[in-house]
Order: sequence, then structure tokens, then C-alpha cells
Amino acid sequence: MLELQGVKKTYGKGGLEVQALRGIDLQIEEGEFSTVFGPSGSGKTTLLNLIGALDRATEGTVKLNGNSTGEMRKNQLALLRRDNIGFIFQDFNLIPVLTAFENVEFALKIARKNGKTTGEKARKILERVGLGEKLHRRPGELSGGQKQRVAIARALVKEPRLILADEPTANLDSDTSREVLEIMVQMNEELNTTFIFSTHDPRVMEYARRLLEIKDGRITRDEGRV
Amino acid sequence: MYLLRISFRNLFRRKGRTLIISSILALAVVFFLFMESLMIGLMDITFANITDFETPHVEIGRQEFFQEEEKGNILPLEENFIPDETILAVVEEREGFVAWTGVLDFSGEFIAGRHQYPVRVRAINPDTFPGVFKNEEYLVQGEFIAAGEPGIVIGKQLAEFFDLEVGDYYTLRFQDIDRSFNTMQGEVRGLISVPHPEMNLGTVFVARDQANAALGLDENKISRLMVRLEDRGLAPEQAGQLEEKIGGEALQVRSYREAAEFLVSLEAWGFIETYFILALFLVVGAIGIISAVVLAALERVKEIGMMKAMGLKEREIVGVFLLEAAGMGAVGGLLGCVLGGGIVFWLAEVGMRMEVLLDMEGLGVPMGDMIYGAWNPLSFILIFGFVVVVAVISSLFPSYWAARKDPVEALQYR
Repeated sequence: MLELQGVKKTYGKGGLEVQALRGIDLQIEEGEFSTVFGPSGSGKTTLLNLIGALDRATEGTVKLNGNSTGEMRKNQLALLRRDNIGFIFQDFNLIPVLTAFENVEFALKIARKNGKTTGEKARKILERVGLGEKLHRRPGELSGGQKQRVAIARALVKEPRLILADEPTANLDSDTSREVLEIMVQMNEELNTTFIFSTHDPRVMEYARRLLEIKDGRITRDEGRV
Repeated sequence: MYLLRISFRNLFRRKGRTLIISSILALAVVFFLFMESLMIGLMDITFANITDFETPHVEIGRQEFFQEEEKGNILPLEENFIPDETILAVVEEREGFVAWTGVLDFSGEFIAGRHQYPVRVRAINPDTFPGVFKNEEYLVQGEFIAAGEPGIVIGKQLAEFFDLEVGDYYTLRFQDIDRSFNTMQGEVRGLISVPHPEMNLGTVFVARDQANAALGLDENKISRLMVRLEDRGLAPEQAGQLEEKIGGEALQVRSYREAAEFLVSLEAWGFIETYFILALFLVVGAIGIISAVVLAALERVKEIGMMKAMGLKEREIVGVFLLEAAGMGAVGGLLGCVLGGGIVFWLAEVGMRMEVLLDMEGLGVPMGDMIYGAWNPLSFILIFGFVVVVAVISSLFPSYWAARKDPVEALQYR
């Protein structure tokens, strides 16, 4: 479902150029549960941004479901993200003026999945991540772990084919991290949703079925490939 | 629907900021509603005082007569006319026609004791005059003018100036049609007190039959044919139509607005001033909105990034900010309309003393002591809409600036 060929990404211009990715070739199949790990500044987030159609490669091609993101316009990229990708971030990035339920339902509304079932879907997914009792709490009234569960529910509710999680456990304690990761594993198994993590937390790697190590903008290890 | 919900709730995210900007907009609305009510009320009363006591809705006279009057010269006796049946028939056909009366105005000196004062003598037909003017209703002492009887009616202010009462003697000195000096003498028949300073001080009423005889004029000769219509608003159009039918080199037809050009320009300046100050308030409000949207965008960079990551298009993110700005405009507009409504209610029902504002009498504006505001419901709707539109327009640029943020940079923003 995802294919990267000779992908390079350079930031800045002239003498201030920084090469974040120096040539990535990668294929990810549907249903994979993969982790990209490596030290800070190795290019993990840049790789996820390119896969998530948030950014364009300087060189090479990124193909998602056969669509080359480098050739798409801004609005087309927005539609691609809307219909195919869910994002989970370490800072949760929930909309503070919406309740947990509304944050999740909003994702469905953006995806133009209207109708009477959106509320029911949002409720069910929040119950599945253990937040059935806190539907109407705003993010400010939830703990870090609960916020991340809302973020997971929000990413999953529109049933995307791919979920990108950028250091999803970085702001969570170990017990909460474990809970959150178990939820994601469960979702991966039940819904066959593809998960790609970026992390440098060894506990996260324990859950991954494929490990991709990245150093200085290159993939230096690829273990457990399907 | 969700974008609207987010925008609405964002309004309460920084309550203080929303309140300050809305208050500035509300102040603009209050100021506008107060000033507009005051201006309309002031001009309503002023023009009503003119048409009720001095110049009617429409008047017909010789061009030269009006020209000499405008120059402040002695009113020319030779510029008189007798309205024939055709003219009267055309006048009576006018839409909203109520009544007409013929008036002969001439210049004279009012003398009582050792003092004298230049006045305009208005010779009237007592039978038809009350159909057009309300002076008689404001009689405070004595009797009004009667046909075939001598005596004059003067304003209370003129009476106080000369220390006169009903029954006291007066002398009117003037030039007759042969330019010989002549006088009319007799007793003061009555005193009127109208809310029009010029009519209280500078005008003397006499019966036309008496005046025309003293002036050596035919008893039917008049200097103005004065016409009252049902509604002041009809006057300009009807005057225009009359001008087409009977106007020309000999006669000129004027509406009260042409006769009171000074007041019309005062009215225009009043509204220009109101709109100018309103614009100043709104500029301050617009700057407030621009800074509020910029600050909101800086505070919500990560949210913008997340919304873009979720697939929200730029124009939808612009929509969130525009709706929020419209909300600020609506809060300010609503607050202003409620407060302004209260002030306009007070102004319309209780009124305010004119001297608080300015010396209208000194300016020569026909005003009484009190001024009352006017209700104009359309103004409330228009100013509310206008404030919302200003809020939306002023937030356009910063909204686009916020929505165009690169999602990667926005998501990594600290």
C-alpha cells in the first residue's frame, strides 16, 4: 500500500542545507505494525511526514495506494490524508474546545461521513478505548493517557487504511504507554489497519512486528519484514 | 456545523479579549444609533417647525422675490402675483394635497415706544392660513388675526423685547408700492409662542386685506402661494411636478428643502460627521479584530496543523477564523444595539435639553428647548450587519495567513 523509492528530503537553501533523508527505499504492506526508531534528529519524523502526505520529498517518489504524493496539489493531498490516513501525535493535538466525543465525531465530519451513524460510531470507538464514561469531558479535564486514547479513537474512527503515530507514548508513563499500545495492537488485529510508529522508546519496539532503524537519514536495519 | 461550533466556543476561549473587541464595536454601534436618532429627531423637529410655522411644504412665488429674500434685501412689493384658477387647479390636483393659502410678505420696522426693530410682516388670509400653518394653535394671549379687522399678532419674544402686552399700541412703518413711507397703527391683538425663534421675534402677522390696502396693492395680490401636503416626504417630488407645469420665467416653485438650504446642508454635515466618527470607531475595532485573529492563530498553530493533517482544506480553516470574527462582530453589534436601543428609547421618550448640545438659536436653527430622538428600526439592522461585515472583512487577511501555515511546521511549533 505504501512505496518509497530513492526518497531524499533537504531543508534550507544554499550553505544552510540540512539533509534529513538521504535516500529511502521502503515498502509497507497492508496490516503491518511497524516501528521506525532511531536517535533524535535521525529523520524519523521527516519520514512520517512524507508518508503522511504532510510534506513533499525533494527527490524520489512516495506512493500511497498508487498515488504519487509529489505530483499532487495541496487540496488533493488534503483529501488523500482525509480519506486514507489517521494521525496520532505525542502532544495529542486535540481541539480543546470540543469534548472527547466531539473531537472524534469531528474527524468523521471532516471525512464527510455524515448521517445518523456518526455519533454512534464515535461513541463505540471511545467505548472501545475505554472512555465510555468520559465522552463529554473536554481535553483539559482528561489525563495524558486519556487524551492519547481520544487521539487514537479520533484516528481510527474514520477507518483509515494507515495510521501514523509520531512518538505516541513520549508523554505517557509506562503503565499508560502499555495500555495505549495494547489498544493499538488490538485495533491493528481487529481492523487490519496499517500502523507505522516513530519512537526511540524500547518498550514500543517490543510491540512492533517490523522494526525499521534509521540513522543519519538512511534505513540501516529492517527486521521482521512481511 | 462543527466549524461553527468550534468558532463559537473559541469566542469564549479568551473571554477578556472577545469582550474588549466586542465592547469597542458596541461603542461604535451605540454612538451611531445615538447620533443618528439625534440627527433624525433634530432634523424632524427642525423641518416640522419650518413647515408648520414659516415655510410650507411647497411654495410658489416670483423668482425675483425669492432672490431678493435670499440676499437679505428689502422684500420687493412689485414682485407679487394673483394666482389664477389654472394654477390653483394644478395645485389642488397634487398627490397628498391638503390646503393652500396666499401670503403677502413685506419688510417693515416695528415701533413701540422709543424702540424700533426690523421685521418681516406676514399679511395673511385668516380663513385659509390655519389650513397650512399652526401658528394660531400657539396663541398664548389675546386673539388671532381676523379678516377686516385691524391689529397685529406678534411673537412672545418680540413682545418681551418691547415689553408689550395684548392691547398695547404699536406702529408698523414700511414703504408702499409707490415707495412712499406709510404706517399701520393699532393694538396688539394676540401673542403667539412657537418653537421657532425667528417667528417669535422677527415676524409680525396682519390681516391681508388691511395690509394690501395700506400698501396700495390689489387685495388678491400675494407674494407666495403656500401649499400643505399630507406628508413632508412628498414635497420635493410634488414641487418638481408643479415646477414643470406652472414654473417658468415668471413663477418659481420650491419645496421646503430648497427654501431651507442652510438646514439641508446642516443635516448633510451632521450625517457626514456621524459616519466619520463611526468609521474611526470601526477602524479601531477592525485593528482589534486583526490582532485578535493573529494572536488566536499564533496560539492555535498546532491545532491548525492538526486540522490540516486531518484533511481540512485551507478555506475551511479560514472559515473557522472568519466565523469567529463574525461572532465578535455579532456580540459587539448585539451589545451595541441593546445599549443603543436603551439610549434611543430615552432620547425618544424623555428627550434632552438642546442647550446641552449647542446654541441652536444662536445658529438661527428653528428649534425649541427640547429635542427628541427618532426611532429608525432599519438603522439597528443595518448597523448590526455592517459591524459583522467589517469584522469579517478585517479578519480575512489574518485568517488566510493562519490557514496557509505549512502543516509540518505548524505541528512542530513550540
